[in-house]
Amino acid sequence: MADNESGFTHIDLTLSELSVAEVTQRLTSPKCGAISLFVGTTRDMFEGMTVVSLEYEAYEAMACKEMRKLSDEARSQYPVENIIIIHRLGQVAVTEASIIVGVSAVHRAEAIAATAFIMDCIKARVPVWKKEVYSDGSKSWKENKECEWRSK
Amino acid sequence: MTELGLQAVPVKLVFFAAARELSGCSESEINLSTPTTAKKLFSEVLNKLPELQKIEKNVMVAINQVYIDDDTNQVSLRAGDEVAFIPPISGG
Repeated sequence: MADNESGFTHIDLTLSELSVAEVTQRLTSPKCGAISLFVGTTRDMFEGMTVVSLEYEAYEAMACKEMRKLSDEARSQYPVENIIIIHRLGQVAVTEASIIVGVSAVHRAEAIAATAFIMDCIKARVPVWKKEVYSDGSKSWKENKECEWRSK
Repeated sequence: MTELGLQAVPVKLVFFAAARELSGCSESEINLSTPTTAKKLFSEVLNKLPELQKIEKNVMVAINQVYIDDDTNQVSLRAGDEVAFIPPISGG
């Protein structure tokens, strides 16, 4: 990762379980008084149906490019130090983390705001898909409400 | 008969999620005309893969991993370009 005066950006896609402790440790900097984390976890219900399993796939190269672009946008809007985005792929058990977004900054306002901004951008632009399998055997490709080209 | 300035180039199509399930493949080679638009190139692909009709209204095109946000904007394709059909996303 290119380090500049504003710290590093680390983007990753992984099949492994995500670790909040590890992300927090990496974000830590003596310049920063704030670390903001968002952890996205998987739910067991969708419109009254029980989710038995779910799986993520990605257009990996493009997903990483988009995450880097949106991180750069976050930096242009908020004075933050380090950014980490890790998205899990493959099978994810219900309640496990599918994504961690972490930001460290001097003060909490920009850390929190940048984290929210990054999540909103991810939901709208990053080519990752989730397929849910329900207890009645049916399956569905989910569509984020933030996705402009979703089925209405 | 080709229009003046129009040619066909071989590109690599990549499919994900619902697009992959409909087309039955994750990759395919195809000749597409250039210059073109996202809208036009999708309809050329539909000729070969009519099953994709189902997602026509809800798909984004990406060329070399960059979204084509305006499907009526003229774009140029070059041999070996990677063209992706991106169904509605659900990451995060």
